[in-house]
Amino acid sequence: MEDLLVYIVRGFPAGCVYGLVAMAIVLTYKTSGVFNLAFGAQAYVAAAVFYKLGKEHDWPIGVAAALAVLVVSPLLALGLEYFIFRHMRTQPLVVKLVAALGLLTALPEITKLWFGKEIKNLPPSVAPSPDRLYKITDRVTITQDRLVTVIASLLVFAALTALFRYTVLGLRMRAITESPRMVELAGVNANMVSRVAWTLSGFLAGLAGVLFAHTEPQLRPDNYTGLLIVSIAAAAFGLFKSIPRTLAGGMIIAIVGGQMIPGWLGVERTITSYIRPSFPFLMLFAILVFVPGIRQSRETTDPLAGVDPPPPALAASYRDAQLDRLTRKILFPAFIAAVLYLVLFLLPGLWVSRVTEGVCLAVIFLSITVLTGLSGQLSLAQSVFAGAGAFTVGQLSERYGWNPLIGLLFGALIAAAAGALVALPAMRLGGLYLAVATFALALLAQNALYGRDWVGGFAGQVDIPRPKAFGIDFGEDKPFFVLCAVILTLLSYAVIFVRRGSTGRFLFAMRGSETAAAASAINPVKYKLIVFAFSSFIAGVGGALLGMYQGVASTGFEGQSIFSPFYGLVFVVLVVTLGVRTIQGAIVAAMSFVLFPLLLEWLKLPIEFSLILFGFGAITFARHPEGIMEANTRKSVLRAAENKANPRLARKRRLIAWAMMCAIAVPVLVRSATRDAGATELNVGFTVLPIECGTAWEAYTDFDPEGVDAAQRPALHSACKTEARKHFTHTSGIKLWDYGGAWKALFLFLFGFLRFSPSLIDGRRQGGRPSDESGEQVPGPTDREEVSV
Amino acid sequence: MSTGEGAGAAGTGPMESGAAGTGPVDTGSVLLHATDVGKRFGGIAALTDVNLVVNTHEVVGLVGPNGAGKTTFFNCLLGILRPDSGIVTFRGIDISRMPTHKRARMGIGRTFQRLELFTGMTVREHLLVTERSRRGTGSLWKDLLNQGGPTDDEHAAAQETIDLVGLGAEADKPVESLSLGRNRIVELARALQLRPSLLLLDEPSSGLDRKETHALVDVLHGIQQSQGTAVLLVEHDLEMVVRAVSRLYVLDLGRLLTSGPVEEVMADPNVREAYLGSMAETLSPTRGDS
Repeated sequence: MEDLLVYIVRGFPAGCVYGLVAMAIVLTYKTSGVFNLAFGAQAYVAAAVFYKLGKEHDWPIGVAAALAVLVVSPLLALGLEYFIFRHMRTQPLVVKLVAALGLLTALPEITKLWFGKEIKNLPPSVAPSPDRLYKITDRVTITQDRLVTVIASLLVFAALTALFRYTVLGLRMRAITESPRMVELAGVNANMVSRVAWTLSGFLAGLAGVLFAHTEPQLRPDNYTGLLIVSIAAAAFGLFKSIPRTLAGGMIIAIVGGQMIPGWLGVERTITSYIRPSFPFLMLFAILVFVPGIRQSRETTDPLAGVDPPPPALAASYRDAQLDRLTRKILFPAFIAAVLYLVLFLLPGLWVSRVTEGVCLAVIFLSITVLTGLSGQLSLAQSVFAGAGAFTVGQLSERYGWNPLIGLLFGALIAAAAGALVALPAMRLGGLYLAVATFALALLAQNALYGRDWVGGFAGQVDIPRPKAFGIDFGEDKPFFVLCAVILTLLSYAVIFVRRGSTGRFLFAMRGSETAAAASAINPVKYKLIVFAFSSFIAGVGGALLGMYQGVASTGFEGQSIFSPFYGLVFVVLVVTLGVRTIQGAIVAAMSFVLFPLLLEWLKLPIEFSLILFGFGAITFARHPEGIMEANTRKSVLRAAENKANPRLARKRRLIAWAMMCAIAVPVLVRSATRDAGATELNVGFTVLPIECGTAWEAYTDFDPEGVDAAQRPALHSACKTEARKHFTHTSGIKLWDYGGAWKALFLFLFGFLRFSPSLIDGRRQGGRPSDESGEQVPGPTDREEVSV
Repeated sequence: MSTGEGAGAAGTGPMESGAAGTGPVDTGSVLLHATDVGKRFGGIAALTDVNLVVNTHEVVGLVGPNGAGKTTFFNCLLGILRPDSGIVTFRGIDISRMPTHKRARMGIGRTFQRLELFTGMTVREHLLVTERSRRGTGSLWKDLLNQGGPTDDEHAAAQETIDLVGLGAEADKPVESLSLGRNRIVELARALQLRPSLLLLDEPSSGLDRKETHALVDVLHGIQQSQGTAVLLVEHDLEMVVRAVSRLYVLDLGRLLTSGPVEEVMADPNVREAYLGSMAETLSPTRGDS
């Protein structure tokens, strides 16, 4: 009996914190329809402010905490509402979810610019003497810190419950959930109510962040991502509406999952180390799949949703015939040929390697194009499916000596089977709940499977050899690049064909109306299974390729591995932001993911900027839910149409376009002609050029870099780089970027041409939409005449 | 139609000919038989022991005040909802446990009260998709080999339906650009594309003006004459019901109030009280057959 009390007392404070975040989630979800995954990040920001002021600037703890919880956090939430989520209230769930995911990755990075990158140890507590013990019984005690957590949380719970039950504001908040526009018709300022709710939720997130800080030895953003997911499980227990049940959910996770079960199983045993961290995810998954109340909430839609205009058709379908031919027959092949030529004959090893990585990632991203682009479902487990492919290849070739290419096929099949398994909850869930369930499954897989010898290897990593086949050794970078590019091409065409064929059309129909699709003899269960399996198959192939590229697949418990669930989030954000309905979207997303760090290096910006930019990409996404690529295409197509209508405007635009193209290309050309090209271009640094530079380092210094005195390092470092460049030029016979300036200029010019091409066309011919197969002209729909005339 | 595989694998019954029939044949045999269908939502009994029969080639009406359970009953017939009790047979086969898409493939077409269209598709694409699913010839493998596009056969079948319902002018427009009235016709066309032997129409005239309603009734008559499709019609517009149906079922609060030939039902005092009210008096039960 006393054991039970011990468990309760130990688990109660954590349960309170979970409950606080869960309530913040429920609050914004219910009032603005945004499932705000950024709360993890918001809580982190509050904690960072608290840490910085309270510990590093020695402010009084109370003042620091008050500032973080009562000022910074609510203001941040208000800002997010005002600048981002306000504009999204009537957007589809996926749009809101992706924007929130973008913030979840970006906010901590932005904070770190001010907060500092170094590890923050021993966060302070709000309590004046946090470790002071209070006795409950002889054996059961509680620290002051925890006591403060419990009291603060319970007060907030009580206040919130009263607010919702007894005040007009609470009533309005509840009404807005159903239909913001209906509420506005009833004379309530929905914006105002939503803002109050966001401010309140910001306060809750901040409070949770500050209270949670002291419970971990370090202040790290990923702790808060973990907190967020656990809290989602608590919110799910409350069916995303009931505040008392949400609190109870938090308690169950903290007390039953965190204390009782490990207590019964024995804290030291291996099985406990699997079950304890998995418990919230198991619970979340089980609730989502088996509790009918949650599934039914899928049906509730805004009764006034019908007033929204339908999503526009793909921009390519508006494109006029001339532009279309130009793009398809000339620009696209030219672009591909240029890229291939560049990679195979011109670029230095490092860039070939990064482009290859991009191609592997593009294959993984293609799986998102299939799943989200075709069926409209959102899965956050794609990185784990990719992991399934990678680990399988590694294990098969390591243990049984299989050819990695056969292993790849096998790994992809295993990933497909796993995907089909995930599709089972998808039968019942949709949209948000499916996304959350897949994320729970991904975390579950990481916690329960990745650590096993037969999955993630003995030391948390599996070696993956590159294949030798058809008499070619793909161990070399360039043949391997070709292999990856061929696979990407094949899969891209497969996706295009599937999109055009019955499967794609059925899925599109199901997106429009699943009920009507079933009533039209389409079997929704079958096609959901197919799309999940197909998508995971592609992810598996991509993962296996990526593993081969890296030579190793690691489980990365600290979130370092590309196969960890965190990257599943990043992937989805990236692809959806750039364009989830087209193949180009996936490829551009992958390339930007890989080449962006290099570009930042080139521009001498800190590497954190890439994640920050992805976050801002998510904000742009708020304005262009169809994806940035698609929005650009649309703009250019519209422009071409305007040019046609107005020759004077067209002439002006043509001039500007040529000027812009020259403006970007010429300076680069001039610069490269007027100075020693190679000298500064190899600024990629020691860390990014491991092989070439490492050899040079050895040749130059002959001792361990870690042993160098810190003051001497920069000098040695730069000397090493010069040396490395010489060394590389010497061994490969290629002068690094020797005439690179000219090529860069040409590349930029080509890029400019692609960008501005619509302005260069004056198209005098009558427009029309080429039909898919025969290329014959069918007249454009009349309602689009404003576009094409 | 060139293909003979009207219904899918599940029960190509003896009535196969009815699907692609050429005009009214015998109107005697039972097509759809619902026995004691019941459905509860939590504590509310949406349907209680509803019995209903539709014979081949017959147009039957189902009326009742709002909330009487008409749409719920439709959903039970097509398997979108699982009834708690009762049996539904179609062409003599028990379909109570069959999933929706199989029932559709057996030859039950349906329209919806609140439009359920495939947003983003043109009218023709709606029909092509439905034609493909009716034939059941789609497969991922074919798609992967780029063999998944619409065939000439399917194009011809879709065109035939377009001509039948008179959507020629709008065939290649996306459905979002069409008016509500035209979209109801699109739903009808999609249901017809299944070559159904039974059409379930859920308030096809709601939101239509008088002229559009008349046009709809004409289209329905044409289809019933030429294809011999049986129709179960849920409708509030009594004028339309009287014009279109031969037998009438009246549902109130989930129970069947009465049923029989139109004239009898309209004269029933219970019906007048529950539903028709004063409307029935102004509306004399004269059946216009045109």
